[in-house]
Amino acid sequence: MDSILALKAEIIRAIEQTCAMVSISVSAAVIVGMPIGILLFLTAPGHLRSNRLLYGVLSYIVNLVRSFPFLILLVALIPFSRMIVGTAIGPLAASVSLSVAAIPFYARLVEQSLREVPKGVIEAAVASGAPMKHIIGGVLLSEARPGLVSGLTVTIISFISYSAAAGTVGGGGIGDLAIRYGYQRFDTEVMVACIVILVVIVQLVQWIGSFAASRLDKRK
Amino acid sequence: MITFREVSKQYKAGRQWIEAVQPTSLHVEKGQIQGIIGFSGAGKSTLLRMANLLELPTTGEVYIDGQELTGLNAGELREARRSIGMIFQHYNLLSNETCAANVEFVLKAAGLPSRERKRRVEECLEIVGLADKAKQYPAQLSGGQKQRVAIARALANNPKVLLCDEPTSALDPVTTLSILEFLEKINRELQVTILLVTHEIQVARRLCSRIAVMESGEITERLDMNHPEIKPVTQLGRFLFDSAEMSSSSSVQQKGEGYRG
Repeated sequence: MDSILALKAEIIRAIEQTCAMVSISVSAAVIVGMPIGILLFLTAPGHLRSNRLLYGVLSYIVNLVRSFPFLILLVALIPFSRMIVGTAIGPLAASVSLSVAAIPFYARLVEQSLREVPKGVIEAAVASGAPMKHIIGGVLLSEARPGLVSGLTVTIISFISYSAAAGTVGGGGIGDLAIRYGYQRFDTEVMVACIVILVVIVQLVQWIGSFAASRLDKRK
Repeated sequence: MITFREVSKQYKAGRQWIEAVQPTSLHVEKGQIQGIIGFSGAGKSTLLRMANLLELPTTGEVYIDGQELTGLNAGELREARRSIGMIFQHYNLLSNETCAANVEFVLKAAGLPSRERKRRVEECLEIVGLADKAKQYPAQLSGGQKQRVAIARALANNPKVLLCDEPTSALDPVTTLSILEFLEKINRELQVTILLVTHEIQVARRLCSRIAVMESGEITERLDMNHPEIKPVTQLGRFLFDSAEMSSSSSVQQKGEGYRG
């Protein structure tokens, strides 16, 4: 218990760092990944803006980034992080790599949720003469709402765990604390405390995500 | 009002080409209710879906109110589609939106300002007798009510034409009758020309002034229902009408009378 109290300030800082990394990367996932997901859906063969070339290229890039083991992506992107935020160390630098990983991750989940929207509903909107922006906003995103929120929940939780790996390049965060004190210095108490914190955060995120998804779902 | 000129539709299924609709012409006068009947796979839905180019004809032209749809660019086609309402067998409503929002969607897409939208939504739900369900979600409604919301949505932009793709095929006979009454009323009071596809001959007989019988991608028979004597010559036409004769007095009409009384 003593070691935890002694590290109180550091634990709080670690929580803040984790939150920063996760919120930056998840925001990037929503802001960039969602449009890519929509584009993937629209350009897929047999869909509204079917374009074999664009779909092929996008899909290939998404798969390419997603096939990197995260640790390797993290290291490979060190020069890129340095270019973007001026440093390769710290939560901000780690956020760059996390964002690069989160964007294609969420893009695929968005594409999948949009495919769940019944074709007939989209067709009815097309038949009514609705322009594309209304079909995207009023039909696709609205009908796929529960799936998009569930996908976001999955993304947040995955990236809480990815952010722990970011500790290895000096990214900080709770995962990093657990590794430095718990694993490398055999301080079991700190490790347990970190894990408990992570469990609580993940449970909370999942609970909120599931609740929001079910509230947004009017199909039943 | 609606003219198909030598339209045909072919598509590729695996290795072979399938001729869904063979070169076909059909003209529907303003204010008429034209039915297309036939068994499944006869190409009747494909023909209907060519009326607003949901299905692009392989050859031929489609005219709505004198305008050639097949010659329009994407923006002009969107504009033209606003005056062509459409309803479907499975309603195709937005399930995460209320009934009012479903109707409002097509008005918003047409660029109507907010206040006028609200007024028009009320009017349209009033026409189909569902003003009290405005705030409910489709999942809370019965099949017939869902189809009525779909009708309200199709009417929102004051269409000249209403396309109906098996509109009653998922409904029971009593509900079917009430939907047909709404369609009749819309045709009579709003002067909307209706093109309706169905495999239920009862529905076509009840509603249509003209019926085209379709068989393997071709219109094989055209019947004028206002003619004193309807004598189908094709085997399918006779089959459909004879089986209708047998059950017409029993099923739909009787239930219909019960429903009205």
